[in-house]
Amino acid sequence: MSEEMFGIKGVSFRYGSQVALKDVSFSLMRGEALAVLGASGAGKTTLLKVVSGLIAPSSGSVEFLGRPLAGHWLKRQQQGRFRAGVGFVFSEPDVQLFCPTVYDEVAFGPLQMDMSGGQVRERVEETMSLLQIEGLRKRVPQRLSSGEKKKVQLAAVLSVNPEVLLLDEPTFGLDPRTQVWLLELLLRLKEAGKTFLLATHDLSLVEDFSGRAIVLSESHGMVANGATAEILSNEKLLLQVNLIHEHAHRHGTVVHKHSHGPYSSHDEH
Amino acid sequence: MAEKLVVPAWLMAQDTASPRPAGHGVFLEKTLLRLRGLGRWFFIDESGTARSRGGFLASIDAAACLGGGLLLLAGLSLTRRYEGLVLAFAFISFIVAAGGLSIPLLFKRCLPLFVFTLILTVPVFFQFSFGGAGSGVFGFIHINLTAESLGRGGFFLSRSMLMLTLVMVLGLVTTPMALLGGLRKFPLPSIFTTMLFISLAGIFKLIALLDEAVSARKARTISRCGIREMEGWFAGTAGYLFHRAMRTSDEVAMAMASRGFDGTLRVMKPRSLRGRDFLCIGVSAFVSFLIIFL
Repeated sequence: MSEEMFGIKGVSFRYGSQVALKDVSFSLMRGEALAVLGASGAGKTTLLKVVSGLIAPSSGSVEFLGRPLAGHWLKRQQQGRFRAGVGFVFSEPDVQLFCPTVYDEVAFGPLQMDMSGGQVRERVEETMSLLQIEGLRKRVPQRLSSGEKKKVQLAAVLSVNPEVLLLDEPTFGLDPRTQVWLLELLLRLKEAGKTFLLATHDLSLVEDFSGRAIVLSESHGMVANGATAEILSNEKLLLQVNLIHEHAHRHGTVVHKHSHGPYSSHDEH
Repeated sequence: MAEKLVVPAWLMAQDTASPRPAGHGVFLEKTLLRLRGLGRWFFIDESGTARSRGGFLASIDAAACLGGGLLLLAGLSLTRRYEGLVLAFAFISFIVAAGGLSIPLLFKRCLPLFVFTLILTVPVFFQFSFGGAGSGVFGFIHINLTAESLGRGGFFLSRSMLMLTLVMVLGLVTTPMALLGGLRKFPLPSIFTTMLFISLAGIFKLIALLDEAVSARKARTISRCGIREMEGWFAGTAGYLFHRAMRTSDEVAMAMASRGFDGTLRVMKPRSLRGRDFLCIGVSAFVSFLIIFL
């Protein structure tokens, strides 16, 4: 049986009086690709920030390799190891890209890990080569296209070689070709044994990539935890949590209404 | 399942009211447009600079350009003689010629600065007073145009314009971003240069957001806004920008922490300067010395 990387136990989070997460519990095993599904505003990003130790839950606990994440354990003793082991790709690239050039951006993480100059240079070159962004090395990240920014964002995180990757809406704002490229890259990394926690409402990505999924409802609680195929075939659940929608369209003068999404059936016609 | 949509009658008919024009761009829009242009210039790629065309000047490190420029600026600020200004003019002209810089572009960038500096210098030329003997009287204001005031005003104007032209030339030799990167080779804390960049990037992002907000308001404005509506819009937009600034800085801090930043910023050791870079700094130091003591 594989090792538990993260144990999330009864986690709730509030922004003032506004509830963002309500009693969420699940485990993330080593080498697993777990999808967090939910409509916009369901709490996916907050959950990823809690798991990455960037914000502390209002109640409940997060364990990394069997040790609690909050408090002095992360702050003092194991901060470097945790940050090197867990990479977080934010949904909005502009907040994650803060260095003057793409090269500096990719080098930032390895430098903070106290790698030597030679190691950093080697790591940066190989990462840029992997993501095919060598030509962008002197460019200002803020001036890149969405697809290029996403590649630089991934390179900046991968250059640290984390064991766990937390991806927040990885396909958001990407054109179809870049989405396919991203899926291929993620599958290669998964084969290499990386662990993934992926927050998205892109169901086609989840079907191709994740073996297991959890579902957050619009009331911020966890309503399902199971095999991806099982969850994606549960049309009633997907409609309830607003991941697929009822679609109206016209046949002559008659308007039909049925569920719509990658996994809806049209047998109501 | 059949469904009947109920559409309000007014939505099905053409409105007879004809909208009045929203008016031409106001001061706020024009200012934002200029600020956005400044942001684009700051972050723009190297096209249009001497660096993009290759050659000796392009091969000089941005830090050496910055160091040389600062030395010349120091020389210009300390000189007390016209000979020094003439030498500085000759040296700046040499840089412009050697770098193949566009003279019309340089002129276009310097002209507004000249006009602004000239306006600031007017009191120095005319020595306004409210009494006594003078060269002329306009209403109750007396002007005193003397050889001394002309000399003083002319020297101040020439010195200021040469310093501003030098800054503009530096901006055409290399990009502002490269110059900012060049700061890393100075004995400054790395956190200072990184935070300077993040702050500038954030400011220009907020300007772009404000510009979008102005466009969005204009798109929904059928007739000219009254002062009350403008005040309301301004307050709402300022609040929104403040919130975005807070949220962005919070998320940037999180992004830095998630990539291992623990309060001590470690950066790559910058590439050391080469012979030609030291030559550039040496020549600038020598010219600066001559400007002061000629």
